[in-house]
Amino acid sequence: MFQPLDPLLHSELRLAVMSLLISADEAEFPYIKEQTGATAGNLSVQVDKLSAAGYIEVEKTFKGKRPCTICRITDKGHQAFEAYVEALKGYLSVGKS
Amino acid sequence: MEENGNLTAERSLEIITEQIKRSRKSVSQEVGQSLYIAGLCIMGMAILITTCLLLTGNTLFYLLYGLIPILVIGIDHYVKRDKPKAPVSLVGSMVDKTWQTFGIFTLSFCVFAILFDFLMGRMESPEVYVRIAIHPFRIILLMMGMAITITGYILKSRWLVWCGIIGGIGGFIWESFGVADFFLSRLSDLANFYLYSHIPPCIMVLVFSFVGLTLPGWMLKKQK
Repeated sequence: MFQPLDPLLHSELRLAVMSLLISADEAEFPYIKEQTGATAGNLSVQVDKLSAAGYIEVEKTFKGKRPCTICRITDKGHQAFEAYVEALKGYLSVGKS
Repeated sequence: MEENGNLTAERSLEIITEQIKRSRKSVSQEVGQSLYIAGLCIMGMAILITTCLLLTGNTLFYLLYGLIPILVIGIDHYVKRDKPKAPVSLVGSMVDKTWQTFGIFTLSFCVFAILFDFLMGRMESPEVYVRIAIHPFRIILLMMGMAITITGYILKSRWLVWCGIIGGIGGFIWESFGVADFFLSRLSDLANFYLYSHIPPCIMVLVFSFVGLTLPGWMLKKQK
């Protein structure tokens, strides 16, 4: 029996953002944009969706005089990502057998 | 990367793996940049200190090595000012802690050794001084080699590990056996030997900073 994949994470960009944040305490918005190759607008929309679901925290601050957006994964986000990977394993093991 | 609802399990796994790899690579490149800058700063400082020593003969100029961390942090900050900062990850913080530990131990030991030698040189007879003098370079090179090797293991970079081992142990052996002094004594008379005795440590610092910091830093920085 397959476990359902979290629809919020089952999207290229949102999954990429979560994968980046999973190994880091926090990351700045320009860094995530650079690593994912997404446009600022699209990334901003996806970050808002993850934030609304409580998977990540978004902190708007200043770096010197420039505004700086910092994204951080939450405990809920960690759990959701782990559940997603577990579910994924089920699909992959069936694919291999 | 655009929105795509028709993700397969394989593609999802690919995205996760790719992003984790990218994250590790970006940390490696940032570490590489810092190692490269540190290597160049140490090489520049070695040349400056040796020039001052040759001109004045005052060994207190060795204390200028203490300015290296400030110089490296300042230049590193300036070079990276417009680039997005790599996130604080486990890999990055392990590398940071390794170099912080190296910095604390090296600086403390270096300052102690220089002051000890300076004081003992004035308080003790030359015969006693020769026996008790601390030669900090060999220990610094050994510790630097250790820090580079550990960094190589953390970043899973085999040649960085080898650069650390060769640079650290090679430098330690070179200095312990007084290889440079041996050649210098063969090539110059006694008066010139004392005058030029400040050059071998400089050459050693230049060579081993290049092998242990500048070269691996440049390779990490340029990796694709």
